[in-house]
Amino acid sequence: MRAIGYLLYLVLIAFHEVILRGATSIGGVSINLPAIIVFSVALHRSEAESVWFAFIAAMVMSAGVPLSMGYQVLTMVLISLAIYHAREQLNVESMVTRLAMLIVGVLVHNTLMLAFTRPSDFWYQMWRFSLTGTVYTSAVAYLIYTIALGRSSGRHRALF
Amino acid sequence: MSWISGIFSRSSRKLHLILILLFGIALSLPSLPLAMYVSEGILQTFYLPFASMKNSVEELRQVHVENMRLRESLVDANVKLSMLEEAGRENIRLRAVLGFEPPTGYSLLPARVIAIVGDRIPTEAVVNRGYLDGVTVNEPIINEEGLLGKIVSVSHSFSTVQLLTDPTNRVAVRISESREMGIAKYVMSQGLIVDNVPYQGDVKQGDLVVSSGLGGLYPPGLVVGTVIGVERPKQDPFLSIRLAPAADFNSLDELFILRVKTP
Repeated sequence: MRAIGYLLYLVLIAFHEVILRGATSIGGVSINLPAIIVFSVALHRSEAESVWFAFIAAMVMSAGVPLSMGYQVLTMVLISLAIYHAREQLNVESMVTRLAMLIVGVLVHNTLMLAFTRPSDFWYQMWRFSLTGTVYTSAVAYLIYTIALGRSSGRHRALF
Repeated sequence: MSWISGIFSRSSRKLHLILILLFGIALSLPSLPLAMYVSEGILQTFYLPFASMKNSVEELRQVHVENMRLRESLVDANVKLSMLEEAGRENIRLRAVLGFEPPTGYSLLPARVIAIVGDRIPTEAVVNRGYLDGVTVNEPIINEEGLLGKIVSVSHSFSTVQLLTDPTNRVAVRISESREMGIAKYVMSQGLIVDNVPYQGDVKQGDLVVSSGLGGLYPPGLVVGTVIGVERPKQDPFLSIRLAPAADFNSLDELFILRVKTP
């Protein structure tokens, strides 16, 4: 059953890359939904599951741009690993703290990908798209977590 | 426990990380086409269904836009077609009146009906000629079919025509064959009739009824209608004659004001 869940996440990532990203972008700023999914898995699952899922999800999300696939994979896996260990070391349980870690993860991911793919106009891209994209993604992540928390009525640990 | 957890529990943590990092580095190397192969497989498996769906939606949207554009074109074309058909009908009517000659001593002033007045049948018409065109009250109105009525009021650029179908209108007429004279008038319950024709008058169905010229308002010989019924009431000294009007008062369009030709 868990494998089907991960497969559905991958399908959702592909759906986001093909359709949702363009449909939900505002002035070129889009939601980093794959990062929300991957880092949420890292916040709620084991280390091995987190890094393997990050690895496959990164390949799926960058399939349209194969030149950046390697950077995407490494970035996603390393951030997932960092989030997992931060969670374990800090023994984070509150939803707000997990959300904060997810947002930091999204910001680091956006920044690192910019550094790899757009080094020439890094600062402009950083201010124009990366930070605004992080804010947009954080708002969506907050909504998802709030709705999921409301539905699970306190069982939010079992969401991912 | 699922099979995934089983695999993970059996494998060492370091091995997982080393494998993933190695694979990630291999994907980053531009000299290795690994990323291209992986990307192609993922695109075929995950992206293609959504891309097809997106393309179908986009095609549907374009078809909808095209449909709307074609509908607008169709409405536009229908309007143009209606105008062309109307122009064709006008052409036929104008060709019919082209050879129309006025009675001797009279000239024709063409006019167009711009409004019709009347409840169940038209009794008055407003035409686009007024005193600026030299129109005066009591001038007869005709078309290629026959007598229509007379001018009853004139304004700057328009005139009002009292049609034969107005019950207050009277025309002095003559039966063209027997030369019997009478008064044509419109009665709501009977239609156009001829009154005051003596009982012994020789009138039969199909006779043509024309203006007699008596009274000086209408010139003689203008066709008013055709006899469609003759009754001889025993207690009445006059015949009861019903006429079919020569003109179709329900489809008035172009008509002529008959004017006395000044020398």
